[in-house]
Amino acid sequence: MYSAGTESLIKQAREIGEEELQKFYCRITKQLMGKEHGHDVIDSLQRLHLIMASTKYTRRLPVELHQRLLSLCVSSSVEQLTVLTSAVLRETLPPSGPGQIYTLHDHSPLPSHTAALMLSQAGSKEDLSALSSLLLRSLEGRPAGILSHLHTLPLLNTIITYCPESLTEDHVTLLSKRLVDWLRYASVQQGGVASSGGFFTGPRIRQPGPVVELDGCVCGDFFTVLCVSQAFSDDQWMNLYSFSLLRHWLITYHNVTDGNNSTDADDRSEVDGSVVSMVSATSSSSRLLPPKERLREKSFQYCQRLIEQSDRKALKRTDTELQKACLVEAVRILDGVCVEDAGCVYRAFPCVKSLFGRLNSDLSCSRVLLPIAQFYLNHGETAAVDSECVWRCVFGVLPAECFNDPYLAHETLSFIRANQLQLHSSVPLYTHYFPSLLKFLAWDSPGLVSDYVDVLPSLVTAGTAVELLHSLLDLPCLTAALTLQLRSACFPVSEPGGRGLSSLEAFRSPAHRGLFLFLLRGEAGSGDTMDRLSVLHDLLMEAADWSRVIQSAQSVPVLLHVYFNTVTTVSDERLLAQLVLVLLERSSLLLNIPKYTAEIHRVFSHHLLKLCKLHPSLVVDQSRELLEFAGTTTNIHSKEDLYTHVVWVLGEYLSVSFDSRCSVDLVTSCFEALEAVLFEITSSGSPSPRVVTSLLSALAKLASRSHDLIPRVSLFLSKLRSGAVSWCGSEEDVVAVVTRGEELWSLLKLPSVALSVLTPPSLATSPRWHRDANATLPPRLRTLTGLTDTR
Amino acid sequence: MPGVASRQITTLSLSTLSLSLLHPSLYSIPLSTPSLSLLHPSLRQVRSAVTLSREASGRVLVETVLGEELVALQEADSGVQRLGRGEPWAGERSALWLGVQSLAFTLVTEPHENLLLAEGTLKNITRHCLEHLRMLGMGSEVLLKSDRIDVLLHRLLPHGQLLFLNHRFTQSLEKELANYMAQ
Repeated sequence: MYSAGTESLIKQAREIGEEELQKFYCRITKQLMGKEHGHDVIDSLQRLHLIMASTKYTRRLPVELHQRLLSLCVSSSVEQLTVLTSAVLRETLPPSGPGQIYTLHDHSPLPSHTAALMLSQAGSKEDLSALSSLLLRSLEGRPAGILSHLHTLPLLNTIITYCPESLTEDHVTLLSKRLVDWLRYASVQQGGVASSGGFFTGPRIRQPGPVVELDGCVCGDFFTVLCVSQAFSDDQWMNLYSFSLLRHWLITYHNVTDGNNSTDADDRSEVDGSVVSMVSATSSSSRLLPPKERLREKSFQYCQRLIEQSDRKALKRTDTELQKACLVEAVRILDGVCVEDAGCVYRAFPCVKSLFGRLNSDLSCSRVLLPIAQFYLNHGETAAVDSECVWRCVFGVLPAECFNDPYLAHETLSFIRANQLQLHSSVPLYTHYFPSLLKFLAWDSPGLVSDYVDVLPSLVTAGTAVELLHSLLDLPCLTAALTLQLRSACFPVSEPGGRGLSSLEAFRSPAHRGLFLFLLRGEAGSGDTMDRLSVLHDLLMEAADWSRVIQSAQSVPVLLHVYFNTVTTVSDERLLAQLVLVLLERSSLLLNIPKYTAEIHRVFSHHLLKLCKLHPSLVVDQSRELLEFAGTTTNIHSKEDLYTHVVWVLGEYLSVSFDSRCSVDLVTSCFEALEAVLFEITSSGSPSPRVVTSLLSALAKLASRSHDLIPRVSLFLSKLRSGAVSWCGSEEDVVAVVTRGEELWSLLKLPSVALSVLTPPSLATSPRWHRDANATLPPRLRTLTGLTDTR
Repeated sequence: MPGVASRQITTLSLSTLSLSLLHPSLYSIPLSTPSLSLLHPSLRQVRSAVTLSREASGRVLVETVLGEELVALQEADSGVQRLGRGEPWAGERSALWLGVQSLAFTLVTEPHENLLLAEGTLKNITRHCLEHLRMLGMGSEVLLKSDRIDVLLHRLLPHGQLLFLNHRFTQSLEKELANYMAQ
C-alpha cells in the first residue's frame, strides 16, 4: 500500500513548473472546447485535479479554463465530467476576488455535484438561504428529472447543520408537510418496472408485487427503511432520505434536545401537555394538527413501527445490523418526542419497556440499551416506573461482559458525561457500580482516560472513597486480570508442554480464585481491598511488561490527581485520616511496573502535603502511623520522595498551635525517632542530602517547640559545622548540608526567635500586608509622597 | 457559517511517510476555508489512537495483497476516539476509525448522529475504497482515479448524510457504482 510511486507522484504534482503548468492549462482548455469528451479529457482532468489538490495553497485557474469548467459542471450529462469538474473547482475555493464566485442561475434541477460546489463557496447566511430556497423550489415543482432532487434532503441537512436560520418559517412548514407525506404515505408497491423476464413474457409487464419485510413476509403496514423490494420508487427513496435526517430535523426545529436533561422540559410540558395531550392520545384525529405537530405524531408512529419490525429475524446479516441501528434511532426519536410532548410518554413507555425486556439478555444488542437507558432516565419518573434493572444492566452487567467493545465504552462514557447531574440525583446506586465501570478504562486507557477525568469526580463519595482509591491503585492489576480472563475464555484448555503463562495458570487455579474474583467484582461494598494483595502482585509479575498493562499504569497518576482534588470536598476529617493511612500503606504495595511506583509516590507526596495543609490536625491524629513510617530506615531507600514529605509534614504540623492534643511527650517521642534515624543513616552509608536536610529542619522545628531538645540538636549541628561530613558524596552536597546546618544552628541559639521562624503563627504564613493597618503605613506614605512630590 | 468540514473520510498513513496523505477529494462536505493544517490535530489523535490500540492488542499484522480485500477487512481493527472541544472543531466530535494494514480510514461524526450506523457505513465505504482503488496493491489509483472516491461518497454518504440502507437499497446503489467504475 502506498508505494514510493505514489509519493513521487504527489511530489511531482506539487513541484510542477509554472511554464509547464500554463501549457497544461492551455491544452486542457482546448480539449474542453470540443464537443466530444473522451478518455484523454478525463485523464487530463484527473491530472489537473491531482495538481490542484496536492498544492498546499489555493491555485488560481486562468479565467477561460475556469469558465469552461463551470459550464461543463452545470450542464454536462456525463457524471464523470460533472464529478471531476466540480472537484477541480472546489480546489479553487475560497475565491480570492468577487469575480470568481459561482452565481446561482436558475438551474433546476440543480445537479447534486453542482449543488455541493455551491455549498462549498457559501460564505454567509444569505448564500445559504438562497441555496435553500432554490432547493425547496425544486421540491415543489417536481421537475422531470426527479432523481436529481433525491439529494435535496441531504443537502438541506448540511445547510441546517451550519445555519438553521437559513430556512424560514414557511420553508420549515412546507418541509414538515412533505416529510409527513414521504414518511407515512410512501407507496407499498414495489417500485420501478420488474425485469421483463425471458422468452415467455409478452407485452404485458409483470405487475410488481407489494414490498416485503426483512424476513420475507409481505409488508402489512406503511413503508419504512426496513422494507425491501426488487426496485424502489422515488417516494420510497424519499422515505429513506427523510428518515435519515428526521432526528436532526426534530432536534433543530422542534426545540427537542438531544434527549439529555433539559431544565425547562418541565415548564414546557406543562404548557404543551395541557393543549396537545388530548389529541396525541387519539392518532386518528391527527389531520387536524398543525404541520409540526403532525410531523411529530407521524415520527412517533414510524418509530413504533420500526421497533416492531426489528423483532423479525432478518434474512441477511447486514440487515440485522441495520435493525439495531434503526432501534437506536427510533428510541432516541421517541425520547425526543416525549421530551417535547410529555403526553406521549404513556404511549411510548410500554413499547420501550418491552423492547428492554427483549434485549437485555442479548449482548449483541448492548448498544441499543443505552438510548433505552436515556429514555428511562428522562421519563422514568413521569411514568413512575422502577428503573433499577436498567441501571444494573447498563452499569453493572454490560461493562463487565463487554469491556473490550470500544464503541460501547465510548457511548457509555458519553452517556454518563452527558447526564452526570441527573444520575447523581435520580440514580443513587450509580456510584455503587464503579468497579464495573472501571473495566472499560482498564482495557483501553489511552482512549478513555480523558472521559474518566470528567466522570471520576461523580464516582467519589464518602461511601466509596477508600475502596475507589484502592481500585485506582490496582488498575494495572485489573487490566492484567481482564486480559487473563479473555485468554482463559479463548483457550479453555491449558497449553501442553508448560509453555503457557504462569499468571494464566494462577488465574485458573482454585487457590487464587478468591483474589481474582475480588479484583473482577462488579459492585462496590464488599470490602475496601483484599488481604493478600502482595500475593496477587507476585502472581501478576509477568504482566508488568504487557503493553496494555503499561498503558493502564500510565493513566493512573492523572486519575489520582482528579481523585484527591475531589475527595477533599466530600470527606470529613475521619475519612481523610483513613486516606492518609491508605497512602502510607499502599506506598509499598504496588504492582512492580517500571516507573509506576515512582510516579505514584510523587502523586502521594504532593497530595499528602495538600491534605495536611488543609487539615493540619491530621498529623497529630495519625502521628503514630506517620512516626512509624518515618522511623523505618528502609523507607528512605525505597521511597525517598514520600519519606522526605512525611518528615516535613511531621516537622511542620506537629505543634500545639495546630492541634491542642499535641503534648510535649508527643513532640519528644517524635524528635527521638527522627534523631535515631539521622544518626543511623549518617553513621553508615551515604544518605541523600535532601533526606538529611529535611531531617535536620524537622528536628530543629520540633526542638523550637520544646526547648529541652535544643541542646541535643545543637550538638549535632555543631559537629556538622566542624566538617564531620564524611558520609557526604559530592562537594555540592557538602555545601548544601553544611549551609543548612549553619542556618539552623544560628537560629537555635535564640530560642524565641527560632520559635517564631520555625513555627510561625498562621497570620504570618498567609500575609495580607495590604490589609494590615500598621504594615501598610510606610508604603502608603511613600506612594502619596511620590504622587504629590513635584520635584 | 460553513467552516471546517463536519464530515470527511480521510486516509492517513501509519508508515514512515512524512506526507500527511490528506486527500482533499475525500471530503464529502465542501470546505469554504480549505485550510488543511486545521485538520491535523484530529488526525494526529486518531493516528496515536490506532497505534496505541495495536500495541496493546499485540496482534501481528497479516500482509494481504490484491484480491484479498475481504480478508483485510476482517483483520482490520477498529475503534472510536473522542475529539474534545477545539480539537479542532468548536463542538465535540467522535472519530470512528478502521485500520486496514498501514492505513486508517476515519469518519468524524457529530454528537446527534447514529454511531452504530456510522460504523456500518465506514466499513462499507472502506470495502469499496479498497476494491475500486486497488489499495492493497502498489498502484496509484487512489491519486489518479480520485473521482471514484467522490462518486462512492456521493452515493453512500451523500453530502455527509448517513443513510439507513437495507441490503436492497445498498444493492441498488452498488449497481450504479459498478456501472460508473466500469468506465
